[in-house]
Amino acid sequence: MASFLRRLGGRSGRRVAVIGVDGVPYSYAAGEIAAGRLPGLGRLAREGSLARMTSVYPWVSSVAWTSCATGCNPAKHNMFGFVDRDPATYRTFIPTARDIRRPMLWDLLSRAGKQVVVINVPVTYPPQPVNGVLIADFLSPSLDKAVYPPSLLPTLERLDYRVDVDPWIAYESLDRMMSEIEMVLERRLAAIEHFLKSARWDFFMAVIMETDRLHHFFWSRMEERHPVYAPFFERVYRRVDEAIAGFARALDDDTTLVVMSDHGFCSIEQEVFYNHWLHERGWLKYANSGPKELRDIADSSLAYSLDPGRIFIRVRGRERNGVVAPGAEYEALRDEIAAAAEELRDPGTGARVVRKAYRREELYAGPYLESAADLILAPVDGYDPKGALHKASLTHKDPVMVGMHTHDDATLCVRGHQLAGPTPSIVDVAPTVLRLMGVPVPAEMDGTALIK
Amino acid sequence: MDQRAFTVSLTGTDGAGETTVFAQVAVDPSDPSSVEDGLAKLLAALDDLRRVSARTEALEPYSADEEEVIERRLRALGYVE
Repeated sequence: MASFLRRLGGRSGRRVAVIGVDGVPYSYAAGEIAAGRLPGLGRLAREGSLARMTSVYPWVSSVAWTSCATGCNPAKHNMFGFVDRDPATYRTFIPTARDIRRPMLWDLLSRAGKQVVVINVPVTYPPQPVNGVLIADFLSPSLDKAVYPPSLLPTLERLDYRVDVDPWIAYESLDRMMSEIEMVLERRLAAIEHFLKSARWDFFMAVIMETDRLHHFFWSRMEERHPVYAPFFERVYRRVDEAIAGFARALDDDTTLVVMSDHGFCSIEQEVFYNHWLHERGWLKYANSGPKELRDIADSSLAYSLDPGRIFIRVRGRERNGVVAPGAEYEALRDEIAAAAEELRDPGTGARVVRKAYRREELYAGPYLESAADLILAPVDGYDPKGALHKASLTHKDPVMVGMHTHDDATLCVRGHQLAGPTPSIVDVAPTVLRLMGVPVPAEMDGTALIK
Repeated sequence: MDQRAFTVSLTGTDGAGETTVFAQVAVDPSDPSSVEDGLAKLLAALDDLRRVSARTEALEPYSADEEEVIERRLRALGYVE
């Protein structure tokens, strides 16, 4: 009881453990806690704080976790999505840790002499040396290339650790996908427990990615109370909750435990193909009849889209054979596309699909602003933005992929501390961790410490 | 017992830039076995530095096969088309 009261008083622990539960929505977690179905997380919330947290734009894991770990907006850390393009050649590529331009939490802490353990945080591939252990994320092509220091590989092989589920199994059999998610989850939890208990660390961070995979393939089936998949969904949540409770018991009173997600989730009403729309409106033209990649768009095109909901204008001097003059012409076209996007409707229901079309400078500030999309379309929840180049219709409902990310509904739970200020943002996590550990918060961070 | 604990950082430079590895060493100068143990940890860190540097060269960018593996995974998750 005494330690519990001390924690409520806001005493700063010297060590911090962050357990990420990718994509767990605050609204769902709070409801399950209230119903008594997540007793582990419920106890942590009662011993501290549970809050709804906002993510970043666009709210995909690569951008959100990088913003979390740097405390910075994307124009400072340079991560804007799972795919990016070279504007000079239109070659697309997958950004990795090499593209991140700000130090991550574990870099700052390593330099401060703190020992760290980092497991499965997007985007940590290729693994960079830290003062401790780093096991990279699902952007790793294989386990042997995911581990720092390399000498830890035999330990992970002994635990039969997996980088990720095989998501293609879901398209073959949802029943087999259930087994796949549970198998990878167990191995992830075993590795987390192993390093939590056996490694020396001041800062520990691990992300459970299997919740995100569960949501993508089972979210609407849970909402619709499917007789097999809804109980499975709840079983995975119970297992994660039980594991978090076990991790909490393993930590001493000097350690602050943070449980968080990077975005929320909801059911997909329709996937929305923005390049189809741009093509219909005459802003995008193709150089051939079967375009497959960005290099197949015609030079006369004015705009194109990349996942998720990012619109790039073909600005002269920036884009390969760009045709839109910077300045007034650029602004006029951007305004025209933004206004049209906000009027875009689901052809089946007439519902709006775009909540707001943001100009990049409305969301971002920093030295890499020029790498950001010109417009970022924030969808109405349920309308999943897609960047496929050539689709026969504006919308499509996929029978397998049934869950999409949401922006305003991430989860933040901090044991032993009351959170200060208004609704927290994911960029507040890094300065909060540094404050808890007594390490100076760099002035460049956009977030603010949530602990006084 | 006069144990002294250090965090040692070792930095090497290769074609991909600078790489630093870390080693935690605790040594009691009056205990030869702890000195030996400390030296072994430093040598292991040097080995890690060598392996990380070699791997760094090999990892950037993805090989064509590796990029296909990752793109395929991201496509199944709906993150790229």
